[in-house]
Amino acid sequence: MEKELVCINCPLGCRLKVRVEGEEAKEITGNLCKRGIEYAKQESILPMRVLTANMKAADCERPFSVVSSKPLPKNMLIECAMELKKHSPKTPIKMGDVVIENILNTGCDIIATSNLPEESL
Amino acid sequence: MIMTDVDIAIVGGGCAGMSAALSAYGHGIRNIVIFERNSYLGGVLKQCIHNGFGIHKFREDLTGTQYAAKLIDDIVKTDICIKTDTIVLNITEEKEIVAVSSKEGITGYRAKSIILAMGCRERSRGELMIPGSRPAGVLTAGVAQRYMNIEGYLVGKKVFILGSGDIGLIMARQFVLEGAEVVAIAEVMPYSGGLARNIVQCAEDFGIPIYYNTTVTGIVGKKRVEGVFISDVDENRKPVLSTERFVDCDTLMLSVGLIPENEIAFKAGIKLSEKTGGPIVDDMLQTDIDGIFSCGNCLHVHDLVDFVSIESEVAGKNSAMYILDKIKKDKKPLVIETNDGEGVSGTVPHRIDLNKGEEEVTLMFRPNSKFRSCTATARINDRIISSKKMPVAVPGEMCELKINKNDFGPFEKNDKLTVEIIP
Ligand SMILES: Cc1cc2nc3c(=O)[nH]c(=O)nc-3n(C[C@H](O)[C@H](O)[C@H](O)COP(=O)(O)OP(=O)(O)OC[C@H]3O[C@@H](n4cnc5c(N)ncnc54)[C@H](O)[C@@H]3O)c2cc1C
Ligand code: SF4
Repeated sequence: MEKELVCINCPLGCRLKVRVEGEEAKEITGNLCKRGIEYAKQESILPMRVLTANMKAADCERPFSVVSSKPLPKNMLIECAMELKKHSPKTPIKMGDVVIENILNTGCDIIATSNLPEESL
Repeated sequence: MIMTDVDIAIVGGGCAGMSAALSAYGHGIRNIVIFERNSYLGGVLKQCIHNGFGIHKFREDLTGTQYAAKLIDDIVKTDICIKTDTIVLNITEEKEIVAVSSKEGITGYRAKSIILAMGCRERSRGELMIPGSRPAGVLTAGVAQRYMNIEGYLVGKKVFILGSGDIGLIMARQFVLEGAEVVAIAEVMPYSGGLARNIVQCAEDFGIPIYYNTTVTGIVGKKRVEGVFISDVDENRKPVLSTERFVDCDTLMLSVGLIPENEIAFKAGIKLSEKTGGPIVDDMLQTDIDGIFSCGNCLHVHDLVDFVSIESEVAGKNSAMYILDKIKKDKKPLVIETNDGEGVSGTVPHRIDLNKGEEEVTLMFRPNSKFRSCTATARINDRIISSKKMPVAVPGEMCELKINKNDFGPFEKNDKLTVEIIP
């Protein structure tokens, strides 16, 4: 199978062509540097994304924001985002707190990136 | 009115204001006050919950909120005075400031130096002149972002986006992750001004189409948006009305450009640049009023917060040097103006004083179209003072060119330093 990708690692945006056989990226063309190869390998076999989103606490109107501790598989992104809505931890929430461990068995934790209640500054 | 004396007054508590304050503090100034109209420090960073911040400055991929927290942590360790919920109404050439807050009412300050760090605002529907009714559900990307990330409500269920720059793209993804549908993104240009990363990860990942050479030509709906009309544009970016078609949606989000916020600078008589919308500054980032400096998005719109920090540290340092009387005031100015040449727009700084400030100056500018393997140069007439090769240059990313004052050589009074990008 042939896949076409745009390398996102620099503004050149090389158009990459990847021949995928089973679970392996065989032939990669179109890249101007080796970062393109690494990207094509990952992106054509198992694309990964960082998830950032808002969550609500059980006892506060305002949201707090979260990030996944590492990139998770792209095809799990929306499912994980919907999973966040099923959780409503109690305040106080501190930046850096793990709010969900190993979300949907992806091996990623969900970490708070803001405080709730917001500190006065 | 009672006037409080301060050394440095900073208008705006975003990344620019905080970075400038920390830098001035590090250079020995203690009596610093930051005025911020919001109830919190951080500016737009506080509503940017996505990652992609800090890669240059901290070598870490942070969210906007995490980047802001790092600065705020440093600020609270100092005795810099922070006035949140306080809006600056007026500044004067004499560096007097009028601020107002609900807690303290109207207050006056007299500063030795002022740093302008007011950020930017978004171009609105009025400035775009889209015809049609005025229902609820038309809003700018920044407002949508604030509603979602700070107030916590979803502004629409079926969203159409005008503008494919980074902010529009980031918001498209967020709408999807919050459970809304993004119908499409229309872009008047033949290409997106956004990063390839954002086009892939915010639009393509979710199957959101981007219609290039397309704009919104009408808004339909009485109380709430019921849909928009979109049309193709010709090569002069004028809509071709025979191509007009209807798209069903309940929200139109505009992400069509940012303008430096400089109302109070303008009222104070500070000269502004038509190209950048920000004050005209020298290489110390000083405006045409001595002791008033400008940095961050109110000087010129930045894509990356890291460069806002770096630039604002320069303004903070020079503000400190100004107060400590270390800007060689005895030396006669030897000024050369900068000039946008081929392929370049919005060069900052606008003038360079060879007898003052640092030896090395960073010129910042935007390419006016997309270049591949090109050279950026700065020249006086035919004499090249500095140049660098770039594999690629795009309007969406600001370029830098460093230049050393020792390399200038002699020049005539009317000579200019021309900055160019040559294919
Ligand atoms: C949606 C969005 C996405 C972005 N994404 C990225 C990204 O992925 N990576 C990245 O590196 N950068 C990104 N940026 C760019 C970066 O965040 C900004 O360039 C930077 O934060 C601007 O800082 P600033 O301090 O100049 O402006 P601001 O943050 O706007 O701060 C200005 C402050 O001044 C205050 N103010 C204005 N006027 C007054 C007054 N009269 N009195 C008192 N206070 C006043 C305002 O309330 C505000 O808090 C993004 C920006 C936006 C808007
Ligand atoms: S392959 Fe290399 S040169 Fe091409 S876009 Fe990717 S990082 Fe840039």
